[in-house]
Amino acid sequence: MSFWRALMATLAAALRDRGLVIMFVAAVPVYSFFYPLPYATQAIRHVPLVVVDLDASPMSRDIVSRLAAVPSVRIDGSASSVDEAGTALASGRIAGIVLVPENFARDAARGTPTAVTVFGTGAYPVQDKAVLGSVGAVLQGVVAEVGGVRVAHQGAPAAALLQSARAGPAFIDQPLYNLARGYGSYVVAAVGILIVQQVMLMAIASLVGTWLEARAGTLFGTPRVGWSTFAGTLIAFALFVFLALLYFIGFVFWFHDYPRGGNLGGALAFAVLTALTIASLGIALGAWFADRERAFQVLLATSVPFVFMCGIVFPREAMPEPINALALLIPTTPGIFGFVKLNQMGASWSEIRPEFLNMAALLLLYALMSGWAVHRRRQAWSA
Amino acid sequence: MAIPATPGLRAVLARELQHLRREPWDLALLLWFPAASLLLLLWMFSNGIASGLPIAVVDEDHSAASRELVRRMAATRGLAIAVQAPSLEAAQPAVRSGTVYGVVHIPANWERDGLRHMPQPVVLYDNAQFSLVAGIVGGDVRAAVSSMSLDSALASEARFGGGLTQAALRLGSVQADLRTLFNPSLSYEAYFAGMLLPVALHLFCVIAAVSALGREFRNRSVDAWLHAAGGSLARALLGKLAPLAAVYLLLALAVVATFAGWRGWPAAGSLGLWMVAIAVLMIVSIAIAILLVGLTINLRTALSLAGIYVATGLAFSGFSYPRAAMGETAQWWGGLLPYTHYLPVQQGQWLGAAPASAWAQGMAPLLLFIAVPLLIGLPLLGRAVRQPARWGGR
Repeated sequence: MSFWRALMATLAAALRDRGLVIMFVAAVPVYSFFYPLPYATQAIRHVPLVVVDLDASPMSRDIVSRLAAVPSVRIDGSASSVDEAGTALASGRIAGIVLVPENFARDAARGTPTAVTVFGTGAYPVQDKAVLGSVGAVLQGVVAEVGGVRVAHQGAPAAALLQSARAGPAFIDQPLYNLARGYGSYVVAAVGILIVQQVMLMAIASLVGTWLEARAGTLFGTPRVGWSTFAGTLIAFALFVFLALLYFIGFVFWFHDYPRGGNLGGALAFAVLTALTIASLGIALGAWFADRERAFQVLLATSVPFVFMCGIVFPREAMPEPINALALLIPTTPGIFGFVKLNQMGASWSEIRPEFLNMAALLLLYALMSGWAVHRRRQAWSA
Repeated sequence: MAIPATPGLRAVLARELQHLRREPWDLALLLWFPAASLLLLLWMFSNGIASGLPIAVVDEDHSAASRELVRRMAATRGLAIAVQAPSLEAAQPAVRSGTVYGVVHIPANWERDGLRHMPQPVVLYDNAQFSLVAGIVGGDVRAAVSSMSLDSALASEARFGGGLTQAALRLGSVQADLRTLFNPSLSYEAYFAGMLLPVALHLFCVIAAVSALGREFRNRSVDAWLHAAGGSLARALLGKLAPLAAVYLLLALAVVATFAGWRGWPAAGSLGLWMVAIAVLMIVSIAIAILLVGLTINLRTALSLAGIYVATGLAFSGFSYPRAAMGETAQWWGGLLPYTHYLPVQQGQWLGAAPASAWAQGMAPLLLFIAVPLLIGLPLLGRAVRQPARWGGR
């Protein structure tokens, strides 16, 4: 079969399969709207806090009203003791407790040691950091003001007080690339690539498995499979993956207003390489499974380990070396890093060299494996 | 065991076990694959903490104080100074290529201006595309800078008399005390492994149960299946799903034992109530599988639906991004997923010492995820087993 005939036949087979056309064409768009939904608000907001105000002074009420103005938290009532609110914190109904102790205002004015305490819950670490960070910043501000009042009482010169009041911060934490620190910008940029890989692997492996079952298709329905037939089939499958990748890095990132387009040319070239790799792996898996449904069963459950293995959520430095080595076999490992670096971070081609080499090696490996797997299956028939 | 000649529960059970012996793939999907995945996830986060995260430093001050700051940053648990660059421009490629997670910039005359009470800020440019890592890096750099600021504030306060001890007492008289209760060390093993293992098991259980049921329709073997059960769908389901339920209940209890025993985080609440909750999550998974197969009578479609309904459940559950922060639609959809309801029950009994009343409140919706799918799914299955024309869908 000629290259073009194999290519067209594969495209037609994918689009005519009434069960799988959804996977080839519609599943990625569906996921692209559905998956980012939880992160659409981008910044943590409205996390419920309970205030235990044992001081009931103008100063403590001032603290509460300042906390009420923090967008990341929401004052969700008050309690008369930490124990009373503790149950709600333990069962996850609230995210934190702010305790203003008895006589706080008086002690603060006198310089008697006292403290406002914020309790977060380590059962939800992301939320905990948001609560301690935002509430902590408000309280640090209050503490600094109280300290200024005390220093003035001690008779520090007004000029010095003014100077220290006007002094800028000692430390600035400036985000790069994801300038708004959007949670969706971070998660979806990574998981989007995984969604494309998983959906496309399922679709391709399932179609190849179906061909094997029925001894049909370009790979199993022809008297012989030459280079041109194989290449045409591979490139037809890769075309679907390529379009899905373009859809994500072009439309989805724009639609959700995520950081994007840092190195568009590089991203296009990397998408070609990634698409060929995923298509090869899909053919290899399909020829191995030899079954229409197996790919769904096997691949559905791999998404969670894959996203963590790529090292963007949980750093590679913290993972055991054998797991990092194993992760190099998954296209999303160089894929997610490579695309985030190109699209979001604007890396140059030479700056994604490790990802390029990893992906190129995987393409070689999986192209050979898919060719070998197809050959083996056909040989088993003729024997 | 050989298939008994007389139809009944034992015959269905024997038929199912025989199938698993003959089909290594199905046995692997039922047992080996989930078990291996759980171990992999556990191993992945076994370090518990993220340490040695590489950063770059641009020290344009070259003073004793700036060198001290660099030393203090290097001494933190989280950071490793991987690159010392002469300028921000020179450090940029290291960030873009992913060699470092951020650049700390100490400006020229930083020490001098600080002593003159006109402090210049130390700026950390962190790669916010790696949110969790950026948070760790930011926290550790902030801590190192704060410790330097505190030292100079102490020195300056000491002018008012009483030496450093009195100065420290005066400075620290009013404090903001930030505390994390339950998992105070924020172990990533307890966090990620603790939340991912149950959800992975939930997903595997749905896939295995969908596969076991859907297979009979795909292979048009419903007659043989029901025949072994003597024509009773209830018995047919019980016999087919009993081995699967046994495997997953055992795996679920193994997960609890792993965390509470082996890994050393005993349940702060009730170990028993936690075990009941995770066992119920497995029964929920089977009920959902019955619904998905009943709705579709097609193995592939049922699996695709499981992908949308179960596999994305983690994102909507509030395990990382809090549910309170989500938009209304996402909160509503999250409420329709069983794992969203399971998670606070587990965290409450395991880490949080939540009372039994909170457990009961959390479990009530979870039980609905057994009742409702069965109420819809069972009649649908009952109808489909009598309609051979609908079998064999691929």
